[in-house]
Amino acid sequence: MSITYRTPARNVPAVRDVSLEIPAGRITAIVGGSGGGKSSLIYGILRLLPPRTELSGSIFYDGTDLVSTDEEWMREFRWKRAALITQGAMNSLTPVLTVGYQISEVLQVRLGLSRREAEKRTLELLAMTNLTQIHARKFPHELSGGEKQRAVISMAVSCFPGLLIADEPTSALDMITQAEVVTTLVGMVRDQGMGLLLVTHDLPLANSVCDDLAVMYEGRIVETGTPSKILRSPSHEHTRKLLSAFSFKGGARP
Amino acid sequence: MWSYWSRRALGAVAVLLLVIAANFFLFRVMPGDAVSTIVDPRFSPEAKERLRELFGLDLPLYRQFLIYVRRMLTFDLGISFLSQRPVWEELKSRIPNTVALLGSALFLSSALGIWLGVKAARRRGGLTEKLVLVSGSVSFSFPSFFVQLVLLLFFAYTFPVFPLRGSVSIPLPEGAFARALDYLWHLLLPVGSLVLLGFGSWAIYVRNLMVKTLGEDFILLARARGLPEGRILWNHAFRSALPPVLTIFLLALPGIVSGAVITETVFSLHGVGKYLLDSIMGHDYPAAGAAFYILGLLTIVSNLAADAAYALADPRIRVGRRAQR
Ligand SMILES: Nc1ncnc2c1ncn2[C@@H]1O[C@H](COP(=O)(O)OP(=O)(O)OP(=O)(O)O)[C@@H](O)[C@H]1O
Ligand SMILES: [Mg+2]
Repeated sequence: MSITYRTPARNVPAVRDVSLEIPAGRITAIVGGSGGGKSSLIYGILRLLPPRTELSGSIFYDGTDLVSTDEEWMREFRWKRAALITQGAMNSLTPVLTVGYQISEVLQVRLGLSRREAEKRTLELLAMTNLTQIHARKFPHELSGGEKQRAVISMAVSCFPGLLIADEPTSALDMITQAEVVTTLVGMVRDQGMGLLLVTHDLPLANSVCDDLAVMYEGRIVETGTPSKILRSPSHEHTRKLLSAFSFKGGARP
Repeated sequence: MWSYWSRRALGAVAVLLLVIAANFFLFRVMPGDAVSTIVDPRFSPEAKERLRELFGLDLPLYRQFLIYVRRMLTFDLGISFLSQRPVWEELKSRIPNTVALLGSALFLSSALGIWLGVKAARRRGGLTEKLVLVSGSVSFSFPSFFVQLVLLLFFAYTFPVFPLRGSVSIPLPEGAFARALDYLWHLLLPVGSLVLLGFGSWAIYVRNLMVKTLGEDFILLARARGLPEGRILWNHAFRSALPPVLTIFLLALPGIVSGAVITETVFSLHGVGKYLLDSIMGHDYPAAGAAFYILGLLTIVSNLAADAAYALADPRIRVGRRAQR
């Protein structure tokens, strides 16, 4: 598929003829440098691109082409089939509503739970990421970055989507919190048998958790395979660049 | 939390004292002020005596001020020069009319403006947006008395569907229901004109705020959750934009005084604003000062109400902590 942003000045081709398979129940990571088109790709999958952005090609989910479905079908699709965790998550919760309310709202509106059922379920979901009633009653700005991101993970799995899409879910966090959130996320996905599409620029992180790896550069997927194969013998120059950038910092990581 | 409220309360008290002080000094320096009136031979000995009593004119200034403050706070507003009746007795019956006029005008114009503003922001570049932007800027750039006079001429004179003047018909119609209807009938044109003049700034301001809010990440995420569009618009976007919307409530409040004076005068309503103007015209200082004081008081009370609403709408204030990043 391809995605082209239309700006007054010019057209920006952000994703070019990408063909990628995301197997159910496995963890697929997309790595690549800034501006490579990773975020565009996943917003394209959820059809949440800005208006007048051109999306062409096809995206199959369980045999249905998402590009040709209508908006109402997509609304029903979102969160129940594919949920999203974004970069930072700092701004992914509505600031004036409590965390508990926002999770319970999804449960009520999307799954038709009663208010009491939804509130009970919210606490169970929060418990899965080691959060409690106290956190449920708080507003987003009253949580730490790590807590917020865990709340977002709880919310993302609330409708048991087949696929979880995470766009740099840890890039705004410190190293220790990063590890904590990734462990929570991966544990959750493995427990529930969900697929995970993990977007990151952190190659060692991708390597340590994913089953399949894809490298994206200038809107194209330039390399795919198992992480061990790609790290042992990178075939594209961008992959080598990413690798060397990290060997400076993290060296000892596998 | 407490510091927020004590700050607000202190602010309100300060403004109140300021209004009283302004009154106190204003009616002393104006040509024909109380002091020179005392020596003015055209005034009757009784009027002079009343002035001396009201202002305590033979005492030192600070004592005079203290007496004045106490009188104002206990609604002992003196005796009107013109009617020779206690000013408070005359004002009492007028306050509900002014509150009904300005309250319903503020409520209806903000409700209409907010609704239009949200609709306009929903579809950028759509017809609704263009209509709202144009009608909005027309609405708030017209001088109010001009629009009101034209409306009055058109709907009460050329096509007499509404009364030309007054808050009620004379004689009063029989029965409570008929009277309420009569009251509304008299209120409709003044309130309608204020809504027409007032909705525009609300619509444009809310539209701008909503355009900004709808571009935020958390709206995209609400959409990713598959929530219905109406819920995203009102429950997430508008709810987040509500605190700044309430701040223009505060900005709109000083308009209360001028709105009351102009509207009540044009439509000859039995309200505090018209009383203020009549008193000034008739050099009735105790009456004018009292009317000004009551309007100031109304503004302060609505100010506090808007502050309370703001605090309820914004959790970052409610918990008394500032947002971390
Ligand atoms: N709304 C937009 N309008 C125009 N161009 C855009 C828009 N969003 C992204 N782009 C462009 O599309 C290209 C891909 O951006 P994208 O955000 O998908 O990259 P990314 O791989 O996610 O980068 P990062 O790692 O920094 O998040 C960039 O060149 C960017 O400037
Ligand atoms: Mg990105």
